[in-house]
Amino acid sequence: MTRHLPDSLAPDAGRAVARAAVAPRAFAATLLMAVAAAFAAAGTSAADRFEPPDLFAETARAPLAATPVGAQLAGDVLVVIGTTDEGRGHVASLDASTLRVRAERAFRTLPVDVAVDARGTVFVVGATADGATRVLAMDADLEPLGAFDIGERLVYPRVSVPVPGRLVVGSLASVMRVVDVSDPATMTRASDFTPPSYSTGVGRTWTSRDDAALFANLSVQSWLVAFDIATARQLGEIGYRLKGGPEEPFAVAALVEGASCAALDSSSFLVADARRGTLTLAEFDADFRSLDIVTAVETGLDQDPHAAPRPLPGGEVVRPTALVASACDSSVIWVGNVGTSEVIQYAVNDDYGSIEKIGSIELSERPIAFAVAPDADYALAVSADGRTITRHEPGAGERGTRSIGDPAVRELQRLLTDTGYPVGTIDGVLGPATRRALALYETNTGVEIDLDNLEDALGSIGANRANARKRR
Amino acid sequence: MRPRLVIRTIALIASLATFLGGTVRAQEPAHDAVRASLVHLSVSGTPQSGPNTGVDGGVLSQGTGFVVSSDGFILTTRHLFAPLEKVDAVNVIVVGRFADAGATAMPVQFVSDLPRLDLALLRADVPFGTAPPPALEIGSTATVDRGAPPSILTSGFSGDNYRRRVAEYNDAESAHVPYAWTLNVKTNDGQSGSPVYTERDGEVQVIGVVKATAREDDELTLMIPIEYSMPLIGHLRFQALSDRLDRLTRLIGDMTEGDPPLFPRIEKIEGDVEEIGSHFTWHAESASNGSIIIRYEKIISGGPHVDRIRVNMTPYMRFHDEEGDGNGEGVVFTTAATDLRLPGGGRFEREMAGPESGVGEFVIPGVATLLKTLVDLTARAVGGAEPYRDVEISLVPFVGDQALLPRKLFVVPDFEWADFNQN
Repeated sequence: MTRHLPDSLAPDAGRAVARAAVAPRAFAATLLMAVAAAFAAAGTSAADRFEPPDLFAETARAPLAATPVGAQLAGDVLVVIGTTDEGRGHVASLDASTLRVRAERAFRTLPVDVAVDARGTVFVVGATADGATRVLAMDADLEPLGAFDIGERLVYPRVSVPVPGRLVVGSLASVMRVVDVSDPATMTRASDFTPPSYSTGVGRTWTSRDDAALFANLSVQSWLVAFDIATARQLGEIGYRLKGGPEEPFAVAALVEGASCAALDSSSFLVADARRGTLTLAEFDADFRSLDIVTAVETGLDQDPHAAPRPLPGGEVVRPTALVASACDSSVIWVGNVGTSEVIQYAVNDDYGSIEKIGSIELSERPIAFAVAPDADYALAVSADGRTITRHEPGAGERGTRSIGDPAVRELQRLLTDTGYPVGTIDGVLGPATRRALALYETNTGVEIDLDNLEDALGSIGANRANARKRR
Repeated sequence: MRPRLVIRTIALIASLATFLGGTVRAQEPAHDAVRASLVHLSVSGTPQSGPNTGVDGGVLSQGTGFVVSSDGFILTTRHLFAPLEKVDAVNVIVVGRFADAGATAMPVQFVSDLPRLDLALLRADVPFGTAPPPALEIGSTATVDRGAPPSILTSGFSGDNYRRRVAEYNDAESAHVPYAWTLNVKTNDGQSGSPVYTERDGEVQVIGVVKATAREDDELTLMIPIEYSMPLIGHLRFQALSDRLDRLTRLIGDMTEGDPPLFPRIEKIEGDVEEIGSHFTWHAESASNGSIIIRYEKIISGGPHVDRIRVNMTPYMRFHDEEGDGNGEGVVFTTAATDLRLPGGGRFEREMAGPESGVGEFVIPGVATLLKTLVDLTARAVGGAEPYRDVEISLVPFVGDQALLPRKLFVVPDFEWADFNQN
């Protein structure tokens, strides 16, 4: 009944060797001893190594043939589902670099959600003319492979392929439907994989690399839940329940091993909550078997009140108004919502597990979906207002505002947050939240921080640094 | 092993399994099968405070319990005693009646309790020569397929009336009691402590204990998963499993090294014995100096101790939904805040050893300050006397370099918050 975890008690030296090899930036003066020692032990230069991609700017734009309702990036192909003017369902496969249409197809089923598995098979779920729920499978060139009727009407179906060969159809129904898609030509109902049920319904699901944990984004409530697959026991949760007022599901960017992030060996989640205006970084800790919140920031995004969440007749809001997308190494994270054309670009600093603001981008139209390339090379935004798709690459244009800030203040903010004094977004600006955290730090520790001589001050906080994060 | 022998062995074990299979017959409806093991409990005492001060039997409480061992141990909810504690009752008498509120009264003794989990273990003094009622088989909530929940049954006593109910699985969580499950069924006061059970292939298995009706909805019943009672009844289960293994071993002879597993069921029993034998019961509490004390107790004494633990703490903070609008508090909700930055990277050595006592203790210092700081720096935090619902503690115990299975504990931090920073 015991497990061997050979590395779990090893000291943290070497932990900081992050996945992405980013060029060291030269401002060695702001270095703290603890981190310096860790880096030195790992043979890495002790500089502020955090240099995420620059703020993105639009580089290309293309029209869409149908009004988009959803999109899924798989490799260098973006699959967009939508509805044509004639009221037919439509799916298009676009080359993410050129935005050229590779293939497209129209059908009678009205699409609601799309998933692409590791083999490139496209699964579209939607409603047939009589309202029943149908899954269509297509190959990478959108040639039909098969169709499967769920046999009932599911409200707001969501599809995901958490384990190879098993398509999970979530909805507002408490029990998820699982379809055996190992051969998309002959899809059948599968009973060998039973995801947990929730009275209010479960949306998309994901699994951890070792297939031991299943993560589920609930369809109505603001809740992300982790389960042990073998016992169906709940391992952890992030979320809340409101007493009164419409609830709204989270928007979740899952950084898990799968079609888009094949190389990952950990499971982390970026959870955007439009209701509270927050972005949360959560990680599944395989040792603790728990879902841990590494950090959370307030986005401060405003949304057009006319684009507020539209509840279903029953009062449930099912389509999250928040939007979030991320590269696999979380060096580029886009957060927005369907009610505003503003997108905020963040990056996670792995050495601290901190979410840092890179800047804000003004899209030309309000998005309904966006995607960030797994390797952080580009981002795509899909808009229904103008039926357009836009491509964005590093290098801010005139429609973006970089967060410059002071690097020493950024370091101060990271250290404070990491010591248990959260300052909110790390932006290099000595704002009220940072000053409050600093004041509390001084009160609790009795250490005076001289803001005119920040470099020395950072050393003293660094020495008190509580907890080197266990991230990767 | 020759094929013929294998077949004979399996046949033998199959019949043995029937023989050992418990007290419940497949053809009997589960409610009826369980009834014999139900205990109508009534507690009375003499209040030392309140209007009935000094009146013998001036305070009464009624509940349900069920028999968990063949020698008369009874499991119930601890809040059965709450009315008596409220009036500082003395001369407390507990009486149990098996299967029916009109049955002969038996004296019942208090054995042990888990106050935070609202569970109590009692024992009936069954007169010499009288066979005690059969014990219910203890199952596990892990066997409940939540995708296609089986029908979930409960029965007990409300006042002097026997009540049987068919419940429906609702959720493996509840709004106010973090560890409880919720069932769609209406229950009454006295039914607290009733077993919640499922029937599969004629075998009844207890999966939980009725705790109470949910505060927000009287059609919703809270159930304490049976696993939480292991610190109280684990030794009974261990005894039963070990007896069963002994009997099986006697009948089929010791397995020798290299033998193929004779029958998965035996393997499973061995596995269960091993797990419970190395079972550590963990609990956590907040200390007035601002630390959290994590303590374990071993159900079976002897064997190794936990040398150190790795700990992660996720506080569940109460937030206002909207910025204060002057008069209103706004809607309050609870969600996980960032994990606490614990000293030493969350690694702690055992503080107190007690190889013979079977108890170990770990001190996590400065938690109150960390929590208070987090509240002070969080916009929309409710703060006040109860800024947190509770703190989820995930821990991995280590014996030497070997990690044991991770554990999860919840502790409600009841610190004097004002003491923990000057702001």
